[in-house]
Parts: sequence; structure tokens; C-alpha cells
Amino acid sequence: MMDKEQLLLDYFAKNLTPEQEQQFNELLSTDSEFKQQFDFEKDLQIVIRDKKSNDLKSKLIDFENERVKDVPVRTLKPNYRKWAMAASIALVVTLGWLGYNNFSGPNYSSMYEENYQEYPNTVFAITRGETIESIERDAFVAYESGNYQKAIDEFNKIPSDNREEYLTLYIGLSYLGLGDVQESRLYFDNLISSNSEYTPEALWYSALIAIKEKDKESAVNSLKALTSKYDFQKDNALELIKELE
Amino acid sequence: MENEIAAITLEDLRKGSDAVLKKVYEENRDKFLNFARRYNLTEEENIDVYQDAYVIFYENIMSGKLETLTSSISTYLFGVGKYLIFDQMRKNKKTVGENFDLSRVGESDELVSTFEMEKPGLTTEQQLLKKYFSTLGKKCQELLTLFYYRGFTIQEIMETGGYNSENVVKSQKSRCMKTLKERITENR
Repeated sequence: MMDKEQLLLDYFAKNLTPEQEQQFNELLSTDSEFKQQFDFEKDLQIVIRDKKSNDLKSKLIDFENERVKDVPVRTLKPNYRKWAMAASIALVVTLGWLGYNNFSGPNYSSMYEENYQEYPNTVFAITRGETIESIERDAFVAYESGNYQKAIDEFNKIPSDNREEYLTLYIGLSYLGLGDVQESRLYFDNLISSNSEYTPEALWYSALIAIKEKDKESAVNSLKALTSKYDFQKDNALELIKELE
Repeated sequence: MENEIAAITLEDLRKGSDAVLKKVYEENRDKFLNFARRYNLTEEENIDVYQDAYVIFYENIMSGKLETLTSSISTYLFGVGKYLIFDQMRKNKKTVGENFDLSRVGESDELVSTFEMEKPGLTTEQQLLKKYFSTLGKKCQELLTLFYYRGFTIQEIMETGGYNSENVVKSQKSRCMKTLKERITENR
């Protein structure tokens, strides 16, 4: 008669020989008491791991909080006269700027600059030491490093039958990165009209293009289409609509 | 301490002293945050993701999924982090990308592809177990943790815990388990 307790001990110490493993599995399917004991111990293992993970997480939060404490608080030696002067100059400048802005309408180029951000590659993980070479990988490497022309060339090598929807988005983004607004708009329009998974992204970037071109009406239309249906960039989009209108 | 350049080994990590854990946290934090900033998350979310990536990395060491370090610790953290960032981005967007294909990432990222990234929540049974596990005496908790978490053999527990023989360890372990079972049954 084999020692069931010893089998369980060896299982958790990862010391089972192939033959013992076979015995172990047989027991699991034939001996309900053994199975019950195993389940209990397995649950206990999961519970202890869970507890240790929670402990570690709170330890890391502590490390983070200690950092905040360690960073010296910058103390200002107040020189009130100087500050008062600086503040009044700032106030004049701000008022002037506000006035200028209100009379001259939205500053389209700064709105574009402030809101345009490269869209990250969320599709393809590029890891060092990888041996599998693929066109798509090369394309995303180029995209991530800002080499948009190369990215476009590589994306276009992928036969259209095999093109995933996200490639349309990334080709559009690459053209936008190059500053070729007309070309990029073709790709975004394609996504918008096909009601794709990437429609929100396409709407957002179309709006930014319209802003860049000072086309208020289509910018607002795109932003409204975006905010009415999707959450992507919603806060920024609502802010932009307010500024534009 | 500052001049200490010796690389941290997996064994150091398994022992899990606060000094080592903190060193790893500090050494990789800024690198990770710089990497994470390329994505559309808040700084708070980035820090949270960093900590979660750290925890998952550590879990996979302790469960034996990661047996040798074939790359720098930061590379593992990036691999896990990227997965978590995409996951968070999907959650933030809510209405889109629910079916975003993350398996592509797993496939291409050899290093962490075998990692367990998500744990299902505890079952009712396991929650009870957790509750009563923490009511056990310190000695019992330590012994069971060494065995089920650190993966120590009975002999190793005997050596580190100052027990007289393996049989003493075994019977102590049985007693702890029995108490645990009794407390759960009593309160069911």
C-alpha cells in the first residue's frame, strides 16, 4: 500500500517521479477521500499565495509612500515684493492673452499641438531577443521609433487579404506622423464609415486634422460623433468642443 | 549599500527580504514608468501597474513558473507591464476594444508567455479558508507557508525551523491542518 500522505507531500514539493505521478492521478480519479484532501491542500496553497501577494502589494505601496516622504519639499523663501510684482505682470499678461484669444477665436495650432499625441502600439509587443521575423514586427518597430515612412512601406507589404483592421489605423497614423494629412484622412474615413473597433480613434484623429486645418465645423462634428458614442478621449474631446464653439 | 553592484539572484528574491524587495522596486521603478508613460494612462495608474507587474512577476517565481532568470528583471517587468497596460486601456475605453486580441502579445513575448497573469477571484470555500488560516498560531502559519508557498520539503523545514526530526514536522503540519479544518466546519 502506497503512502498517500507521502504522495501529497512529494506532490507539493514537486518531487514526484513519473511513476508516482501516475499513481497520484489514478488515486485522484478513484479515491474520493484522497481527492478531497488534495483539493483542500490545493485551496490552501492558493489562499496562502493570495495572502502573500496582498502582503507584497501593500509592501510596495509602502515603498512608494516612503519615496514621497524622502523627496525633500522645496521651500520657498518668500520675497513678497518681488512676488507681488511678478504676480501683477503675470496677471497683465494673462488678461492680455485672454483678450487676444477671445477676440481672435480659438488658436487652432496650439489646440492641435496640445492634443496630438502619438497613438501607442497596443497591438504588437516588440521584445528583444525574439527570433521570429515578421513584416508586421518590422513595421511596428519602425512605427514605435517614429520612422513612419518605413512603417508605411512595411505595412503595405502585408497582403491585403491578411490585413487586420488595426493596420488601417496604424497606416493612417503613420501618414499623420509624416504630416501627410490628406493621405491619413483616407484611412481614418475608411474606419469611420466601416464602423470598426477603431472608429473612436479614427474620429479623434480626424477631429485633430480638422483642427489643424482650421475647419471648425468638421472638427466639432467628429468630436460630437466621438463623445456621443464612445469613451475614448472623451474628456479631452468635450473640452475641445467647448473651446471651438 | 550604495556601492553594492552584485546582481540579485532568483534565490535572493525567493527569500524575499524587505531589503531585496525594496532594492528591486527602486532599481526598476523609473525605467518602468518611463516605458509606461508612452501609453495613455495617468501617473497613478502607471505606478499601480508597476506594482501589479512586480507582484505577478514575483508570484510566478514563487509558483515555480519562472525557474531561471534568462533576462534582466526589468525585461520581465516590461513584459508583464505591457500586458497590464493594454488591459487597463481596454477597461478605460469601456465601449471599444473589448475583444482586443491580447494573445498576440503573449505569443510574441516569449519571456512572459508562460506566466500566469490573471487569477480568478477566491471561491467562497477559499475565502473561508483564508479567514481561518489567519486565526492559526504563528508557528502553524509559518510552517504551512514554508511548505505551500516557498515549496520547502519537510527536511528543509526541519532544518530551518529547528525541529528535531522530519516526523515532528509532519505531525505538526497535520495538527495545523486539522485545526484549520475544524475551525471551518465549526463555523460553517
